[in-house]
Amino acid sequence: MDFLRICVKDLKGIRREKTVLMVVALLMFVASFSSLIVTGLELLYSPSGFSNARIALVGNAPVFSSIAHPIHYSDIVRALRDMVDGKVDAVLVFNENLSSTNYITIYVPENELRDIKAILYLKRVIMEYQDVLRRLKGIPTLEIRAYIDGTTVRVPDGYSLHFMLIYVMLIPLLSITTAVVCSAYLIDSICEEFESGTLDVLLSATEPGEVLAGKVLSSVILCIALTAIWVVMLMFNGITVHGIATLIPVTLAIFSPLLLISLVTSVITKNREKAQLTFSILAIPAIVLMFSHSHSPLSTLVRVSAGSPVYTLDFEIVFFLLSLIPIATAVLSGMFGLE
Amino acid sequence: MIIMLSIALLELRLRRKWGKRFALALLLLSAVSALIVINSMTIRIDYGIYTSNVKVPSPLFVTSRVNPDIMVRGKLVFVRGDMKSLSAFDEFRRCVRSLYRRWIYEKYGERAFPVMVRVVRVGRVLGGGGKVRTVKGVRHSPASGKKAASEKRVKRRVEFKVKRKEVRGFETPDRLKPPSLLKKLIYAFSFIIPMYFVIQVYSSSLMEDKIKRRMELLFAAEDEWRVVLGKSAPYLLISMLISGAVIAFMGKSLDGILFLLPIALFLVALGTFTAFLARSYKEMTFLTVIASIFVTVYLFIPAIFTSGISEMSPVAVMLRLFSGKGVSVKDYVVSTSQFYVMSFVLLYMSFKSTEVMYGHSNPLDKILRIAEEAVDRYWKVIMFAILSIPFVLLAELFFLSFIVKISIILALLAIGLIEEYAKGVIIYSAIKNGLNGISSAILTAIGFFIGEKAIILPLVHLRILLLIPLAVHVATSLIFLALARFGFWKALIPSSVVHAIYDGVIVWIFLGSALRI
Repeated sequence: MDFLRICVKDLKGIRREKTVLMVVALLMFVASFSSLIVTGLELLYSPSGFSNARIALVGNAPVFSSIAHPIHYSDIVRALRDMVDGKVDAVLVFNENLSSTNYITIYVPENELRDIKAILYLKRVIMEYQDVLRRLKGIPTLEIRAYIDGTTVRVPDGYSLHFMLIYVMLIPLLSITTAVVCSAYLIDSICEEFESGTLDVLLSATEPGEVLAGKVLSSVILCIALTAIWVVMLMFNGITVHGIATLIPVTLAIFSPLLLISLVTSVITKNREKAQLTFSILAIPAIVLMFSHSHSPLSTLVRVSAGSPVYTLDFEIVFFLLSLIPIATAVLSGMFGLE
Repeated sequence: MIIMLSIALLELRLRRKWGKRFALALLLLSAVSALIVINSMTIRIDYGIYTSNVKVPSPLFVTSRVNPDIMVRGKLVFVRGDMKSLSAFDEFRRCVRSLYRRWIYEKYGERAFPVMVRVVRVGRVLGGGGKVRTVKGVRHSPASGKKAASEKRVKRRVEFKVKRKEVRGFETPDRLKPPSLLKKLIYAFSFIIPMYFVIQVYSSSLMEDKIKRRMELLFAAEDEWRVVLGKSAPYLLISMLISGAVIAFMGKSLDGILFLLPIALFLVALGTFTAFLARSYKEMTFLTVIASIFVTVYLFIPAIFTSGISEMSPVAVMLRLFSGKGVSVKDYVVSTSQFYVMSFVLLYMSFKSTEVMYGHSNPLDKILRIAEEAVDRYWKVIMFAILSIPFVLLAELFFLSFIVKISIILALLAIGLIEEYAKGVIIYSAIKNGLNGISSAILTAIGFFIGEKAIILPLVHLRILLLIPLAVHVATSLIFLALARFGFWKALIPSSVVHAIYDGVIVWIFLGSALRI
């Protein structure tokens, strides 16, 4: 049971060095700041965020005018000057033609919030205009509505953005951050023993396998603790996280490949610099692979946290990755401590 | 100079000891990693996130009879009303619209698309005071009497911009998309991220020298600044070469390097300081991670904005340069000077840290000890108070980016604590060095006030409440001084609380007037 003592020693080491507080700060930052980004993006990019924009029209377009109620200009230069001066948000130039295609040129200010506001508003209005023209031409239009108990409910275009940002961006980002922080901690913890020469002292009292198992266990406990912190932070921010009990093994399965890389690199190189660098290079494709596979533990995390169905294959992959942690620790124990 | 070069060469030789095989392995791994990254860019983690009672031709949906997110019955779509269900409906509608567009095109051809649009973005830069500065930098006022001349100028500029921008053709209105601010930031990240890796290797190298006590030998033989500059020079050079290569690869102006230089220099200074301060590799890693996040927030958050505060970020000004807009010398100085100042202060503090670098006290206490070494004259009191401002702004921006969301009172307390910590360190150090307490407190407050206004005033047109902040800075400094005999931390809390109350009153006044408007 020496590995438990080594694990406790390493965890106490974190507390002594006040590093836990820093990691907590890091995750608090990511959790809260990202949720700020989500709110900001929702406000910026959701069509419901901007109900209206001031539109200038240069040209003759009676049907369009009845829908968008633009300010009419006879001169494009005056219209553009008013846009530059902030009196209107966009300038549209076209003459309406009910028998053929209408080519509309839209002028908007570059790289401004007004650009976003104007484009989002115009998209809605011009789509509506397009439907009116289609009906005039006898082309069927699409009407699709949502109902709750027989009552129509209005769902703005782009409503899913907020949901996707939380469950497909924010939660995977937090879990990857946790895994990277714990991997960096494991590399430091192992390489420090090699570089400071304290490994010999440890090995004189206990087996190499026990030392390595203790260090791996401390990084696993750190991963669980950090996951608990960001889950609480998200709930504190009013975000519903489903399947909390399942989240811990799934997050550990995400940590598992990175843990293996950090274990192998630190035990083989015995040098923190080399291990960190090799880890960085290998971790990037590992993370990308997790993002690009629909049954990766990251995908499972998304589905679990969003309350979506999870498949047997997902759990099999999670269990496989979890089982790799003790196997790799046992295999690498033979190499640990060798000169 | 020769010694510095020798140290730089020695540093490079030490890295070569990693061995050819290891370097080759790294190279191969990098190539493989790059290939995997390129081949695997499709994000599939959102597959199967929604459920429906019928088969929907989208990978986001799976069929489920048990409480599905959307229930399709004939032409009606039923939802539960929660966020997930409504999001599923939104995605379902997008999918159906896409099928509909394909169907009407097959049946009615181009007649089915009676509207085509194209977007022309007209370049402009907002200035202060309701005036508009055009891309060529000529100002005109909407209220000026020279309308005809102004109109001609506007027409010329508009024609010029339109010719330049009219590259896109017409497309269907459903393809209208607003510009992505996030894309702009991610693009900027590609210039900065390689620097983080290089600096990580540099700080590890310094830490190794420190732990193996090689640093002591080097410092005994040569000046601290020569040793540090010699060791950091190769990394600074590599950072700039990598960033230059990224800029060239993206086909952007190499003038961008001028904006990346102060950032690289600052990261080197930060790496040096954290390596000297940390007691172990682990502590250094976490100090570097936290410091990198602080810097990232400071560099990128202002860049989101389109005017005003964005001028303080070299990244924002660099992006402006890349988009072909004019960047003046003043813009360069305003956006980069804080980074040069912070680099100078961090390197100076690092050189002064040789006495405490092997100590076991925590990093914040070590900063206090280093400051005691540095602040021993009255002119240094005022100078360090001014120079502390960029650090204070950096920390404040970091905390404001997330604490405001949790609680405005916490945010005010954090700001009070950060500002009073910076002032307190200087006052405490001055007293320890035998300087007069009251003079030091007042000088610190004046220096802090000058530095604060020097940075903020060119960015924000706020010319009111100038003397009140000075009075508050003096008052809180004197409170700290009066309580300093009980210890640094015990004196810091009351002065921070008073500062937070003042900030709270100011916020309350501004919020009150904003609500009335």
